Amino acid sequence: MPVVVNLDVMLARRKVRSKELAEAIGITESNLSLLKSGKVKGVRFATIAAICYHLQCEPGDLLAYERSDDDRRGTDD
Amino acid sequence: MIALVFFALGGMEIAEAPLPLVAPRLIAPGWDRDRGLLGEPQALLPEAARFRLATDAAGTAKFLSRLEEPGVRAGHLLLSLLIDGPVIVILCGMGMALWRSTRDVPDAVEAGLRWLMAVGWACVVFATTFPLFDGLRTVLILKGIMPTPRYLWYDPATGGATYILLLVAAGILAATWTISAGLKARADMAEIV
Repeated sequence: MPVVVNLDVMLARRKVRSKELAEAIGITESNLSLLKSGKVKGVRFATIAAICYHLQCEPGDLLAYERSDDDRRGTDD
Repeated sequence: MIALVFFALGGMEIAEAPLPLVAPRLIAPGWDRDRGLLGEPQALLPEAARFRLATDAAGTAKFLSRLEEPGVRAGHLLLSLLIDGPVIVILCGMGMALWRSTRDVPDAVEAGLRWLMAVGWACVVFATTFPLFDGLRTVLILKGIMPTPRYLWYDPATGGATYILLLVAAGILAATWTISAGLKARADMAEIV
């Protein structure tokens, strides 16, 4: 997937455990785990904002893009 | 429990399906305390024809005899199956929809909706084909008994009933599509954290 989630990196840098962050931002640990592994269809702006607030970072610290020709056209799927 | 009621009604329709071939006089069966099991095949006819036969004993006897002619039996069975087929799908489909959607398994509602969709389409088929097949059947079983149109005896009352059934079908299909879209949207949203 061309959008890479670097949440685990930020968690390590800030020395915050997944469980603590999940509790702080109000989502389940399993959903946070899915988010860390990139196995979700989307992320709410509110979730990103809450993560940035608690980890004191920017959205760009959490997400990165790897260029791919597959992304020339967006799809709904 | 309600599913069982629909299965029972569907089963009765299936049990009655061969009557035009094997026992045409028992069509539309009922129970009389003194005379036992009785049929009332006149129930198949348009109201005008029923009134006419009700005052014509000889005509009624000729009508019952015509029902038992081999060619009429076969044609009557075929047309009755074409009429009753969608009805059986509607009744059994409702039973399946209720049974599948109330089970305690994943995607139970989705499984039930597929049957509800089939019920909706069966309503459309029944509503659109019933006037044709019923009209053909009426002419087939009344030929020679009383003056009939050449091919089709269309009863305007049937048209009104089928129009209502089409509206019901539209309602069922619209509800099914709406619920399906809602479930799909919910499934998609579940993957957004």
